[in-house]
Amino acid sequence: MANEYLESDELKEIIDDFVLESRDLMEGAIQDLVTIETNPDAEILNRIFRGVHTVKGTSSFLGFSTLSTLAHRAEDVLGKMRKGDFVPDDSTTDVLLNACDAIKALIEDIAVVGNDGQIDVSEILQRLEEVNERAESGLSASEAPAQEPAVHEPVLEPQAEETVKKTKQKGGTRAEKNISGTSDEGSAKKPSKAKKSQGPKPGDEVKAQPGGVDETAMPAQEVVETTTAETAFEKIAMQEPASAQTPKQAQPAAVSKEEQTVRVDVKKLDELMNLVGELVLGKNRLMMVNHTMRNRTEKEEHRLDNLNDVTNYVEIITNDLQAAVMRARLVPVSKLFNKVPRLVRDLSSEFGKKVDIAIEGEETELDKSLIEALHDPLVHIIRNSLDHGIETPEERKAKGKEPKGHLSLKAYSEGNQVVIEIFDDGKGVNVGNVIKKVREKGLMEEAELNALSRKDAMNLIFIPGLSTAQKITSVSGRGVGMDVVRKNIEKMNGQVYIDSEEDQWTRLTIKLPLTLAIMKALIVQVAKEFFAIPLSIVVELVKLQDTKVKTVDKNEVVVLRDRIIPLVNLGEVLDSSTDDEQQDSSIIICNVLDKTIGLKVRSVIGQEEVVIKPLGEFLRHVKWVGGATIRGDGKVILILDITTIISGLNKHKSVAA
Amino acid sequence: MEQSEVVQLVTFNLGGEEFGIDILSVQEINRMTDITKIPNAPDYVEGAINLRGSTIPIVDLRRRLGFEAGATGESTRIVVVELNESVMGFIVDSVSSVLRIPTNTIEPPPSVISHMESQYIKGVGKLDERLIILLDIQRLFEGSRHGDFSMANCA
Amino acid sequence: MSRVLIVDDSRVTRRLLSSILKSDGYVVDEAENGLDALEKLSAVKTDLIIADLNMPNMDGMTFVRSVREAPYVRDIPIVMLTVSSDKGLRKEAMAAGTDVFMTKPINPARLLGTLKSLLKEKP
Repeated sequence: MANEYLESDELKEIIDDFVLESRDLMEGAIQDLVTIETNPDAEILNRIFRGVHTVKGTSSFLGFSTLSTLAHRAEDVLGKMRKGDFVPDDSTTDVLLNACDAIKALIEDIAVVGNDGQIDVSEILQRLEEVNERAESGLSASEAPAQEPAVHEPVLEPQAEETVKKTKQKGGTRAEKNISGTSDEGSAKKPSKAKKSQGPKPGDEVKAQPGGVDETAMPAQEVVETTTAETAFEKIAMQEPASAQTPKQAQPAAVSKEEQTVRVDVKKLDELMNLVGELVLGKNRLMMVNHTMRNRTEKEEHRLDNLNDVTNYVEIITNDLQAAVMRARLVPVSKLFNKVPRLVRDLSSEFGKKVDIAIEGEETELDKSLIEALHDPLVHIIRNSLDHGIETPEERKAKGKEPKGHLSLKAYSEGNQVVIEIFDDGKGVNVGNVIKKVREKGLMEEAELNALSRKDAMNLIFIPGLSTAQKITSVSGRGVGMDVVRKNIEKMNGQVYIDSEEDQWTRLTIKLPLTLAIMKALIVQVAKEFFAIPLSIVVELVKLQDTKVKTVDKNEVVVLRDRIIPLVNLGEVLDSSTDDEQQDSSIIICNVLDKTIGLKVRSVIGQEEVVIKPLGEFLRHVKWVGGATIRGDGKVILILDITTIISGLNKHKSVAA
Repeated sequence: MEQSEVVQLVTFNLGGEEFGIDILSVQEINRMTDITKIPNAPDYVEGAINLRGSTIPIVDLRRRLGFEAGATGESTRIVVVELNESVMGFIVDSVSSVLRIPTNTIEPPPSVISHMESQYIKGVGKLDERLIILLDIQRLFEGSRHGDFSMANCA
Repeated sequence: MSRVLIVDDSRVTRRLLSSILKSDGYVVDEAENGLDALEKLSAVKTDLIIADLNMPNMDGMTFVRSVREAPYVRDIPIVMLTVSSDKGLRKEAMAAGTDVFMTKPINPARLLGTLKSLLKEKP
């Protein structure tokens, strides 16, 4: 154990590092296991082996014995696969994947509670052992390990060190080193009891086992682990003649890319982002001051030119800095996509489907927080796709399709947005059924329903209330929770659409902004208060005096280029009506939830780049407010969550829709 | 304050009573400032303010404790506390002092305190002739998260 | 003050080893794999190498062979670390020119003792 050599702070840091490293390694191993299941590849297998091997080594070093035992057993199986001793089948992959899951769970426990004693891994150990035994039974009996104790792991003992010294003195030729190797083994054959005298420790009795190791500084558990580890390994060694282990030649000089990266705590990045946000606000304020000064004192133009220059300069630098910090937060979508093959594998067996998966553009980058927020919607969409989209092999054959379904994920950048497409060649969406359901449930006015384009009608699957009860498509509807998917994506200031050809394919397109922290917003005044509305949903601004407001069914609407657009009186909704005489002057036309609506406001102040500030845990549950921001004058204003406002209204009144 | 013999309190006045909270939870005390109203929030949430670049929620303690609404005056203060890693403020009529009182003078809350929600009271401390009501701010702001806000959710 | 190069693809292992060695007064350099290590060797004067066996981009065995073939660094003592106790591997590692073959988990006291004795022999 290393503990006594390390300061506790240092040990804690190392354990944190261990958690990060092991988590990455295990996630990689899980992805790789799914990959080699369909495309066996010796190098990938070797990588999995190395990953598990490293986790085993470091965990035992740090004294996480449950974890290292588990990693060790998994490594045994992988070792046999690597040597070609046996060909894994589906169930082997299942067991290995479960083992990796369990290892990950142990790592997360270590991250949270600091030890690996919370989870019972006996079942998965047992299953790994069964795989190991199965692998072994495939081998000829003559190679069975008969002389196990004699070849147990040699360790460097005083005697061995002696040999080493001699070797060194003689100059270290190959032959002599061989001798040193042999005498190492010789020394290791010494009865393990003799070692006791070197350093009795609590838990020493376990060392009496064959293969006992002189780990004087180790606690009992660890000795047990090492012991089992080594005997298990010996078995492999015995079955494999040493000559078969010619090491791989150096790989074609794939020059290791010098590590140009630094690990930075996300909190620090957040802090940096906050500061940049402050700077953006400061810049906005400076621009505001500059602007008012110019308007007031046109005579002193030459002096103001200086102010103007400085303002422009600060603006440019601030924008660049903001972009640079934003880039530092970007993470490739592969973080997310890499998990998909495993998900598809599990879901395929759950639903009895056969599915091929193709991934494209996984290097596309997105803000870390968006990647995290995208996880659940993506899982939901893929789950739906496998459950309700892609047909069973039998159904597909009957339709003349290939028995194996096809699912593809694609990501790419488009200006300041990132687009993610999820495509499947399953049964698609029956638009007629969608319309029928909407009509039955009375979710939309008949006239409006009839006026919808095919594509718009298809996108009705995102309407809340459509999916929960009955089935849309023949099985149970892509509709399951699609409204939730859309809500989550719109929370990220993103959009989602569906397109489909019945019986052919379905494609979901998600568009997201590059970052969540800063957005363009329209600042509006509602009664006496100011609010920010995300610019991403705003289509156009209309002066109230230029248009006519009509009342249909007690609801206000405006007619704009022959379209009837329902109006929402924000003052009423937000309950900030006043008794003054001032009238609302503007309508903001927005696209939300695939509807076009108009928001009535007192006035429009202008467009501003706002830094989104969370309202904090205490106010997290306040609906209709998506966050807050601080304006140039230091005042807090709220960012309205228009999506939630509109969907909330729909539930209670029959406004719009 | 369990084991220590003396507890340090920040005391403040509200509706004619004197209250105290553990000084360790107080981050700062500010003058009244512009508070941005939050539509759809529970009525005791006064709004949010800008505290050096962060937005923090502000609670009207009078409302929270079921007192009559009071006017904002020269002595009105915002007491900023840190609670489970989140920062929030509450409005009080005035802040009086920082006091040290022996823990053994603190008595459990009387079963009924007139016109007040006694569930938020940790105990009552005595110092000379003064009675200081010790508030359980944890409770004060915790219950709100789930209970009251779910009502806001279905609005 | 002796300078030790640690070659291991696991950041955690490198950190652990380096903490142990630093606690005993060594100066420590780190490399992620064999290739990386060869570069470092050409840049700094190293007294001893601790290398992992199983690494991507030039494994430990190839690395040891390369060191033993290089003119200026061939005499640097090498300690090879591995979790595996495979007899064949050990033989091979020794044949390649490894001075000491140690299995993980490492006992720090023993590791430090080994380093001391290896370094003492240096001319």
